Amino acid sequence: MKKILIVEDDADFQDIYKQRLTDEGYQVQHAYVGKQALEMLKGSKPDLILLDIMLPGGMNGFDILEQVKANNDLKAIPVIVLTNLDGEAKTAKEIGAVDYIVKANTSLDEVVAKIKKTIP
Amino acid sequence: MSDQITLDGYKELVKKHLDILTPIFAKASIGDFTSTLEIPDDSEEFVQLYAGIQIMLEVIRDQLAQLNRENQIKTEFLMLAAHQLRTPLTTMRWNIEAILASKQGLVSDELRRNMERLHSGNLKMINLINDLLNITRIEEQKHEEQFRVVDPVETINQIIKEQDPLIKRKKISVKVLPENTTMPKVMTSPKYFYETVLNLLVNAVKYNKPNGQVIIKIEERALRLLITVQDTGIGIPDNEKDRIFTQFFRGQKATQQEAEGTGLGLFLVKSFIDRFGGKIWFESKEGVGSTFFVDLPIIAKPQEISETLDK
Repeated sequence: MKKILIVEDDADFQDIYKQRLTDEGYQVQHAYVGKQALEMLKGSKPDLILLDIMLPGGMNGFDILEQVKANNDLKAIPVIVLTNLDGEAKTAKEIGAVDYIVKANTSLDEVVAKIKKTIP
Repeated sequence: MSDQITLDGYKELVKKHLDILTPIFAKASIGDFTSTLEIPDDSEEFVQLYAGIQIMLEVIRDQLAQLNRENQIKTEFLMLAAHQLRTPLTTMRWNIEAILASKQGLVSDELRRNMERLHSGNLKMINLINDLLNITRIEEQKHEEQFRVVDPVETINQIIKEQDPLIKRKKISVKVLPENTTMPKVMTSPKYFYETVLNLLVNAVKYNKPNGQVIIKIEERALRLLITVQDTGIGIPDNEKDRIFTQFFRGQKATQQEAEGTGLGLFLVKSFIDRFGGKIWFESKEGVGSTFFVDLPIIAKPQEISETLDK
């Protein structure tokens, strides 16, 4: 069973990710803020990280992405940025995100399709 | 000195000061209030005039700066509000989609119809917010817009690829002419060029007939690039033709065929093109189709080309 770590501060988003991705047969882990996500990544490694950008706690999605990509144990894990902030796709991909999805402009089916394409 | 001045001497003095002041007023008349004045020491009469102009310029500068600050705050607030609004709208969208995707029998037909209407209203709100963000961005980037070298053919092909799901769903064939061509690159804002082509292509696909066609033509004409987007769609009725570039306007037939839409697309396209130094117009026949023409200068801003080349 493939494991996905979702870094997302909004509880409604977390619920719907969990519901849908569990239905799709993924094992889902949640982190609300960057510090918690990095702590969890010290344990068992997920197959994919879904990462929000605007996060509380002094660490935004770009900071997390930079730390993941700078860490030899973690840098191979694909990261999909899922955010409602647009215009930052180039920055995210330069740091190493495999995809950049603006939530509002994407259906949940399309999100799932992109996840399946990234970790077949 | 002023007691003995001759008429000729006085004329000369006036002329000298007018030569200093005229360029300052000329600059001010085109919105440049940055001039500074040196108070003259050759005539007391002019000291007061110079001091008055200096104070006037300072007051205008202060007020403009204040206005810019207020505008900036307003823009930032609007951007923040729009981004924040997208979050609950997306959770609504995804939850509605989850309900609509649930197994047959779990959701009654009536509830499904209600949900579909909810979904359509939700998507309309998301589109409105996206357009609002676009308008706000135009305001914000007025002074810091980045002009870059853009490859029009590459951008057009990229957009067609990205819009493939919509094109397939509407069963439209999209053709770019001439095929496999390279065209001169354009100096323009990559984002606005992209938005322009995207809007015209999406319109041509959405307001087309089933199994219809869209032809995008690219031609070079004496340092200008002419892009033509032709469709075989519903066309624009004569009584709507003069309004299609106005804000929030949507054609009657267009609204019937496609419930979603904000009436901001072509308004935005026109404001982008006006700022490229380009032109946009169309020809259309109801029931036959529409053709939109975009005429862009190949070199939009020479000084920015040299800046880009320097980098």
